Amino acid sequence: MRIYWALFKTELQSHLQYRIAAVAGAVTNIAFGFFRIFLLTAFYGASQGKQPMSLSDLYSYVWFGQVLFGVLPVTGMLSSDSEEIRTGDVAYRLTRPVSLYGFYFARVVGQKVTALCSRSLIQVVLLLTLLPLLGLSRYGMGSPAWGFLPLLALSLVLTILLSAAIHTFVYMTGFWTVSTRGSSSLAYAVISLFSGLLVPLAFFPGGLRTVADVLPFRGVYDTPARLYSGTMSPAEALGGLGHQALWLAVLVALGVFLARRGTAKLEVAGG
Amino acid sequence: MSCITVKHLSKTYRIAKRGRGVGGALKGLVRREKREIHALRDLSFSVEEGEILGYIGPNGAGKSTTIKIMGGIMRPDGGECTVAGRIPWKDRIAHVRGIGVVFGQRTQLWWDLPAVESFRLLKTMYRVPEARYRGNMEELTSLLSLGPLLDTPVRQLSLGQRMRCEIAASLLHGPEVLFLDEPTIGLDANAKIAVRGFIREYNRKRRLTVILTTHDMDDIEELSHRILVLHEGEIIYQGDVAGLRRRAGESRQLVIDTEGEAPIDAVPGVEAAEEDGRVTFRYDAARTDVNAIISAVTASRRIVDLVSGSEPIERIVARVYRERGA
Amino acid sequence: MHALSVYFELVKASLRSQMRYKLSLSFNVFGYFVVFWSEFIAVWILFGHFGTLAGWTMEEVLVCYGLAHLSYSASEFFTRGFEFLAPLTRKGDYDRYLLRPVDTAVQLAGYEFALHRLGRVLQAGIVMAYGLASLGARVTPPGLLLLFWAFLGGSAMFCGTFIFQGAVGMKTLQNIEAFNILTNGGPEMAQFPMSIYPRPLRLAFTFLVPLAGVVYYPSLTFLHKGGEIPPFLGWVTPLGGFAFLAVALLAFKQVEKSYISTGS
Repeated sequence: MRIYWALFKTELQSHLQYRIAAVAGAVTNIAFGFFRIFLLTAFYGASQGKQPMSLSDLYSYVWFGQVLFGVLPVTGMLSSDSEEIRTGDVAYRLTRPVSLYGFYFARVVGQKVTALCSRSLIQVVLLLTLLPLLGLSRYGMGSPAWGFLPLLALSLVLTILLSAAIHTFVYMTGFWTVSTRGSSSLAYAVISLFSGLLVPLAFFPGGLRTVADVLPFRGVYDTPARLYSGTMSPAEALGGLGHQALWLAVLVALGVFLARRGTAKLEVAGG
Repeated sequence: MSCITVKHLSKTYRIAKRGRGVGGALKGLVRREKREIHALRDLSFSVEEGEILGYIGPNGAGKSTTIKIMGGIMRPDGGECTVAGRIPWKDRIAHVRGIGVVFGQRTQLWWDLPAVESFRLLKTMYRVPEARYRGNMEELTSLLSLGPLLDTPVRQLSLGQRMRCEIAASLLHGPEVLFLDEPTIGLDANAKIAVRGFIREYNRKRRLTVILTTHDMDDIEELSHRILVLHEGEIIYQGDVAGLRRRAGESRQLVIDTEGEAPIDAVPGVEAAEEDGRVTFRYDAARTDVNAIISAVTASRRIVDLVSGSEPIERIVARVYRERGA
Repeated sequence: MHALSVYFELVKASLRSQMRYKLSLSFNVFGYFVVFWSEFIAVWILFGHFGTLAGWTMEEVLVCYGLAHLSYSASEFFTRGFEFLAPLTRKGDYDRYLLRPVDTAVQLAGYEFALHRLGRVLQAGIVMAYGLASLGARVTPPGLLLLFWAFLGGSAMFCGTFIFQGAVGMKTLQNIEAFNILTNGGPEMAQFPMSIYPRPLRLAFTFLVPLAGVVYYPSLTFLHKGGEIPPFLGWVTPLGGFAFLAVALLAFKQVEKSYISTGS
């Protein structure tokens, strides 16, 4: 266990070096956040009738996604880690007394937490200072729903772990995939849609909404985002947390299973 | 007739000093302290057509700077330079058409493709007419034994094989001047012999002017008609290899494998270094009688074997640097 | 022209080396194809829920969408080398380009013909075709000509953004992620009618980076959505894309010149 903690810490340290990159990333996220907000505001503008979310809740939702962007399973997926699994270079890692799955999982968690502490934090600071300065407070992130704060905190922990589980699961498929770029593109496509990143899930039509509710991806963004803006009933909130926890367990189990099968395959092939 | 003339060339680099730690990095965003490095100071020399010039000097002496200026990819701060009648950095495209460059550490070939496809790409880039291309390729393929290599992807070639292809690539457009930067680095003995043999042969046949930069002194001894020793941007020796030896005195080297561990009396004017019973003596034959050394050794130990020869050129060059206060 | 034949030879070489890994390539193309469908599905969901966007129907918006993504995708085929300019210069590999008797911009254009990007072209093409088909009678030959002209201007403009990114990268020896807002983000911003953006942003996209001029204004003219600008301007604004490209190339040449003067 100590080994995983150490891995997690080194990952944290090495990434915190790249502060300037974090600021650049934060600025990029803020720009994209604004574009989504302009788009959604324009859609709202012409519409009659009641919407599933108020405009200010919507802004909250969008900013939450941008702030948490570094934590989502989509970032950093096309890396040397995924390549080395595909090519079999990972064999040298098997000589160490660390489980393969655990190794990558700890690394990814480290990356996500680093992103949280750098990129996300910088974004929050920028949003809280720049928006009032530019007279754009009405587009702001808004304060969290205080009543849900403890649940939000728990949900965030689950989000990071679930995100890492999804991320590592995709890595593990690397043993059988021909192109890491192909599988990470596919993963990005599915995750960005069904997490609510591209379109808030509230707007999904009936059948698609059901699919999105079942899949694990909403646990990585939609659930904590709605807890932040307080647009969930207590029952829904608990359901959401349960959903996160359940999928976390399932994906970790699947990931470990794939890791074992993949390792066995490597050993047969001779590394 | 001079193919290359260099007159009073000077070049200074301004390097920004990087601050240490976070404070330094932040300060670095605002203001950069600059450090000046005088890579070349008032450099002048010329190279005859068909000459092979060995260009040596410690790292940072200004060798690659000179090569870059002659190649036309760097502008000097002062001075003049002409290569085959052209000023290198003016009209870059016309200039590079007439030169070939081989970097020992970098490749000009396309990694994933068979060597011959790299050659054809270069043929298009250099606008080599089909007939001339075929003629050149035939000659280069036979002289460099490229036959079996042509259809192999470059990434699968050994270093020696790749280097032969690099050299062919740099010559297929028939340049007048060839710049070789560390061409034998990392090569095994056979490959080195092959490369040197080719350069000698091609230079003879085509009157190709060659500038050779290298740390391998055997390259220098085997190939150079003349050498230029560079140190801190200035030429400290210009002439042939024999002249360098003469200037360094009649230095000779005696290597004796000894048995025993008793200390050997020092002989005045002789440097001695020992490793595992093997003692290397360096002395000036004009001033020391070799018998004095042998007597000193036999007085305390037994001689198992000995070899005598000229001091290796590396040591001579290193001493010349040291004399200059390197 | 020599430059063109060199470009084509470089492209052919790049294709040959990529075709050696056919399976991996197919997966890449597929993956790329799928990614952009998910973004399109998002747009489709939003229109399904809201009906119109700032007075535009989905079919009308798809014209902007298609134009933006097609121009961007086209430019990706000519500018991959510029994306690598920072690492090339930093590692000293750029010198080799200077030692060849071919314009460096042409060499960089042919650097790596990333075949997998075809996935994006295909996706954008399908969407555009669908949008035009749905518009039926509103599509006329002069209209299509206008769209093609806007596409050329847009591709030129996006090439310009990559070249700018490369030039800055060459100067600073780092890839500045913020540029992605303009490169990756460019088509994302332009795919919707720019009337949804606040005025200052629209002005910036008209005069600073001619994003509006290569997608929005031509679309307005094509769809006969009068009001904001006189229709003939829709034919003129794509020129901004070419102007932008010219400025970008000048900037690149300038940075290269200073690289030669000061050394690596």
